[in-house]
Amino acid sequence: MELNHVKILLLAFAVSFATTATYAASPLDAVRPFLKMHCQECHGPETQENDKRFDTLGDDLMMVETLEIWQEIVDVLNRDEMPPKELEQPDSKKVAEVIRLLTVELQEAYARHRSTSSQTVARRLNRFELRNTVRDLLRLNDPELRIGNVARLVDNNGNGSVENTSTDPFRSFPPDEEDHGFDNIGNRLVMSDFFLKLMFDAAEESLALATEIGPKPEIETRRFAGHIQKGVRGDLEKLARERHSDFDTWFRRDTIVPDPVRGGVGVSARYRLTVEVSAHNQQHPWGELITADQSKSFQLSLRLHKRGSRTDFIPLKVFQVPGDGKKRTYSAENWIDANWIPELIWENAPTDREARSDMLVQKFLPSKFRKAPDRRDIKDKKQYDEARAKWQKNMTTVAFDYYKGPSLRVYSIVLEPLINEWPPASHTALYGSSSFDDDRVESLLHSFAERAYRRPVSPDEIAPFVELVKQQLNPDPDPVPTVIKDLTFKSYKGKWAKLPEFNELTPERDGNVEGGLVDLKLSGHRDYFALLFEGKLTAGKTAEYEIQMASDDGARIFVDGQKILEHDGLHGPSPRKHKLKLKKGDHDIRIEYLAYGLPNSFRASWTGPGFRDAPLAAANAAKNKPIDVDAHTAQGIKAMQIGYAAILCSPDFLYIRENGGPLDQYEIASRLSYFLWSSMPDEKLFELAKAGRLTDKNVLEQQVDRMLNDPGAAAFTRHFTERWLRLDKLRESPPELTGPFRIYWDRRMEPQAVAQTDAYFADVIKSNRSIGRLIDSDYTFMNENIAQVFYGRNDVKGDSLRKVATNDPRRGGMFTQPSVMTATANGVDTSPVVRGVWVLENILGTPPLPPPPDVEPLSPDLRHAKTIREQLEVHRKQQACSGCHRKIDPLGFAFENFDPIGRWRERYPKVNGTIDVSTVMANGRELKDIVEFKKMLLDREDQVARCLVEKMLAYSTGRLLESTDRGEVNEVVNALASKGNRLRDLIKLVVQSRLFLTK
Amino acid sequence: MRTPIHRRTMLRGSGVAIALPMLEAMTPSGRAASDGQKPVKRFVCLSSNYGIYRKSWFPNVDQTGDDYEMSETLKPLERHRADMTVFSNLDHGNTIGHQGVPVLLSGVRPHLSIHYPEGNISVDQKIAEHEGANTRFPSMTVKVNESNFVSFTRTGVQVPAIDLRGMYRALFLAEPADKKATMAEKLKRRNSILDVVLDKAKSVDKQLGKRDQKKFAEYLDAVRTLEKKIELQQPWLDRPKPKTDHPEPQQGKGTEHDLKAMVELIALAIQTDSTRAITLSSGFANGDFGLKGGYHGFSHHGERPDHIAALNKIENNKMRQFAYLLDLLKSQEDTINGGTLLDHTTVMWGCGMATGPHSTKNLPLLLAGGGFKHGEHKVYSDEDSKRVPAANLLLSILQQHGLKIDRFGTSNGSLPGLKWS
Repeated sequence: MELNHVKILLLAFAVSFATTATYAASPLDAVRPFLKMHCQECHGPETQENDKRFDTLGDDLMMVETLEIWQEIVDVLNRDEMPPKELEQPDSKKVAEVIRLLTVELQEAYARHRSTSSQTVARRLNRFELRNTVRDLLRLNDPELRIGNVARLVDNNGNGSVENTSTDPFRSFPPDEEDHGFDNIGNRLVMSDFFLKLMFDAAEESLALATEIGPKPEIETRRFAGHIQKGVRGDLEKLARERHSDFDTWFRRDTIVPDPVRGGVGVSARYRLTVEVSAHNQQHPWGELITADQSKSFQLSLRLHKRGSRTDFIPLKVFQVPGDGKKRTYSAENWIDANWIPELIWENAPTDREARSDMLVQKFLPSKFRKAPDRRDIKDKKQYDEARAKWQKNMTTVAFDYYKGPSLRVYSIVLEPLINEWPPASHTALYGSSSFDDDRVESLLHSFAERAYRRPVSPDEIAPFVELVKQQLNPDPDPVPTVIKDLTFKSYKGKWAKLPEFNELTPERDGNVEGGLVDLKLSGHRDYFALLFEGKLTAGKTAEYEIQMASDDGARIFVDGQKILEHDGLHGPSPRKHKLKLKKGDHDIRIEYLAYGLPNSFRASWTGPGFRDAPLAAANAAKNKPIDVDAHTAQGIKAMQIGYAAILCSPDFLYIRENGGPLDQYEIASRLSYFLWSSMPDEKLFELAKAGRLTDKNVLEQQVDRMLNDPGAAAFTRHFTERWLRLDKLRESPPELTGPFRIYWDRRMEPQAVAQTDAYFADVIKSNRSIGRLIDSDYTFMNENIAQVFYGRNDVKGDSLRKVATNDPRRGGMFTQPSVMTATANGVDTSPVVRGVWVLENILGTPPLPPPPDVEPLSPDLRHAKTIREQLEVHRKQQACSGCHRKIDPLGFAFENFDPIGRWRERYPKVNGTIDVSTVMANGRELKDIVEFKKMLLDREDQVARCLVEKMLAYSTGRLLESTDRGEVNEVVNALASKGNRLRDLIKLVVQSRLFLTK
Repeated sequence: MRTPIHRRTMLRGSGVAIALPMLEAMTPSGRAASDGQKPVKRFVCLSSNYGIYRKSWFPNVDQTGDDYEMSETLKPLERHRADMTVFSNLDHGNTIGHQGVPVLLSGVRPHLSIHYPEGNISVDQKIAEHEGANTRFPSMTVKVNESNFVSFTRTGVQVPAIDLRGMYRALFLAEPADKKATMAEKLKRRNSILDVVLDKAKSVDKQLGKRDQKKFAEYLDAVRTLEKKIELQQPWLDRPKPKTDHPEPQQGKGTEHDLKAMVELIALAIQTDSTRAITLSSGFANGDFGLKGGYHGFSHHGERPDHIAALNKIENNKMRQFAYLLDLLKSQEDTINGGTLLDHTTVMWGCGMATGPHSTKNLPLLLAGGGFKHGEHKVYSDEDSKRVPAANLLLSILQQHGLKIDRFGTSNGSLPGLKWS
């Protein structure tokens, strides 16, 4: 509930006190004489037109039927439909008064209908909270689950065909229900069978992500040195490679990636990436063309890039490399998922245009400059192309030999996997050690349930889950498929059209095969070779098995000396299969293979009781990974997954529910963690809850500091700013793909603009600055795109966000940031009404009454070159509109200098003259422009702070505020003001407030 | 309702010889016998992604009612005149060019879907929800030489389309035993989890205050509904698919061949009651009908005669295939309802973008069968203030299907003047 409801309520009280003498007095009584005089002739005791009768109409607005009739009365008055025109018309002032009084009354009634008696209703986790909670509960590292990443449908080819390309298990979850801008209001969030089914899918998928039954990945440290890329783009770079074999040189901004990891790092793990580089000529005489700031060292940014995506990047670190030519090493550690690529980018490098060798030569080495050959002089195309290439080579060589501009040398990149434990912690937390112990079912489920339910759990509570798991455990489990035991290989070089007689040949190489899978790479050749593999196949059970094989070219498989599959000669890989009975135990297996000319391949797998297509060859292992656990463990894991899925779908996980009154320790822990992390409490919070220390104000304060300093707090800056500033509207009517705001899409500005807002807000929290900083400041956060597109500046280089002085009093603070300006526009044009209402609702906390039902949206009429300002002036002259619009419009005008994507503009498109944004507020204060507007807000910092307090209390408790919360809000507001209205203090005061600590 | 005999006679009378792919021995099998709701209704929508060439496609706007002359492109439909309706001046009221294509069956632009109670759910998916487990496939989304952009779930997820091969296999080929086993295992697993969870939920419910309890009722309801849905789905795993002598069609033999084969499969899917909601988008492959070029390229014709001639050929073929589907449905007895299949199958043709040059006004829309009163060219007002939302047609289709709703997507009522028996 917003502030004005409070006022309205007080007003209502005042009115009812005044008339307290009469029986059952109601504020509605004030309009009864009006109804009697103007309406009841047709809607009264004698006649009831349209079945409406007002003399007997009750005043209990908690009855929906009554409420609806009063609403209808106000609607027809607003629309000027009644009384009918042929009858005597009431005085228009009188009508306006009746409308105002009824509107206020009805608003109050709606608030009461919504009321939850100042209590948070059991609230389902919303989709972000669910996702984050599952991520933390299962200790998942998947970068798709990072904060702020929304798995979105992607239109990859721009033709309306959308696809979901994410591996986020929660990717199909729809957006949550919303109330007053918040998407975490308990009373509003709903549950359905559809949602529950999604939850089942997500739970099973997440558990699979956390489970690791394969062997420890064999991955070694990879060192890429010398020429780490097969090809480079630029001419200078190409020449540098000819001259130097032990490093690559970059002269312009480009992504630097070793070729072998261009498809991703291959194995998901934590890695240490170490890079050896030297930066040259930070100070140089060629500044006239190469414009980057020479006082700054080279910024070498390391980021992760999702394979195949144009938008998914995770910035990791920016190395500051002094440009003094010295060799230095830098390193960073991070989780890298299999299909993510580590990329280096020299952010403040010369651009392609700046690093053009012919231009550099022309400018700085004029005596060596030659003009490019002219197509008009050389008619023959081939001759011209040759001349052109020769000229280019000449210019490149000159530029290279006399090069004085900045350059970067990369000597090596080392990618070192940091796999300390196997299976990973996510696995052992769920299943104990690597072999499953039936006796641990209960204790594993118990500790999982305590974390999942975020509170202590009694043995009784988990008994049904234990039972569920035990039902799945069978004393005679299905066997798990194995790879080939004691596998050895012999490799032969030669050209055969049919499988050779192996016994008569001498192997070129031989040895053991570590992974137990047939692998053609062991031959060391790509064509014209033969391989012989021998080992033991273990049947876990006496049963029927099937062996499948597809080879290019000839191959045979023998089991226990019997030839079971043969596909000899030269051919493509068509599948062959054979069924056979195997007794429990080991069986000899022999595989013969022949490779002729390219292509060559060999696939083999087997199927048995409880498993299918288990790999026998390396080529099959990509999709069906080999299993490295015993049958009993495999069964145990499956059974536990059912138990865990059940816990994840049960109400105590899906809902945050609190007992009445003051929260208990664990309830406080959850409130804290969902407030600041949008996720479950961590070990520390559980510990403090257990020790009963979370009601201690000092402890709460310490915890807020600790939690805000944790990377998880990015969830707070992301989701709170989105809700407070209504940035969710960015997706509602975004700028059009084509047309004047094309650049917004071409440069993918939306995520960058949002990141700017987040960075700014996080910075104010970090430094505990005053709320005034949100209103105005002399700095903002920018990267190159933001600087160029929104601020028309060319002095910021690279993708990473950094604090930059605005040098412009119009652009500081949060409320004029491009994200906000875009969210408050409709993608085509802007409206002072929309932005004015936005200020009243979200910044000043005094939302206007809802507009009458039939108002048409205003838009500039370009045919008559009428600006929105002129239209609004006409509008405000109408009595019915003036009451609200004289408050709304002035607050919106100041923003008219910001176009629909937040760029500064002096004039409207296709309208003559500059935009006049000067205005007079309802209280008479004049506002000349956005600078004065911000000054006005700064004068009202207390009011802005109050609104922010209310928003944050709603966000942190998961309920809307009501009139009865007024006293608590006041306490926080006063305490905050006494400390200087600082943002981090505000968060602490919210957490210590009674509202936060009570259901 | 006309009798089937009448239709067959008419078919013969018009001298059209059709090799019916259907098999006498084929009967709808595996139908949820307990579900006795009659008549069973179906919905098929054929669509295109590049609009039509208006001057050839639309009948003269002055010829309304039953006295209208078939336009050049619609000529192949002459024999079905009595069983179909052509609409003029219906559209979804947007100006979004190609992005209008996914809007065809809802009227709702995907990014605005949050403003609608059911998002941008398309007609076929709405029917799929309504039919639930009555058929093996709640819906089928298929494509020929083109992506299908018209089917969306209520959460805004585009339903992925299958091609000829996928369609045939889904309809007639038995699932491999292991896949069936995996699916059965999953359903069983979820059922046992739901049992436990429901018990838990009931015990939690007792501890709650009144407000929490009210909220919690949603959860209990969700568990029970999901249990029921799983129960409905389960039997289909074991029920054998219908048998057919219809050979698996080859794919990639050109639009003429592939589209015809797909139309036959659609008729078979309806006949075997494998599904009651089908959408198809079809395109054009370079080289078809002796034309060199791309469909998109032709559609931006700029009034060039060769482009228009190409469009006329492509669109004419689409209408011939539409007519062929009506032939098939008309000539086949409806063993569930009586009458012919067409009597109970609403067949629509349309595109959410009207013309190649990106107009989204006055969409090409045809309706046939389904028990509607047909035979007319219905022309609605082209005045902006009086435009009728095309979603009203969608609402009428759903109402006729048996859904008790009075709003769908961007509709503001049923389609005026469209009657059904």
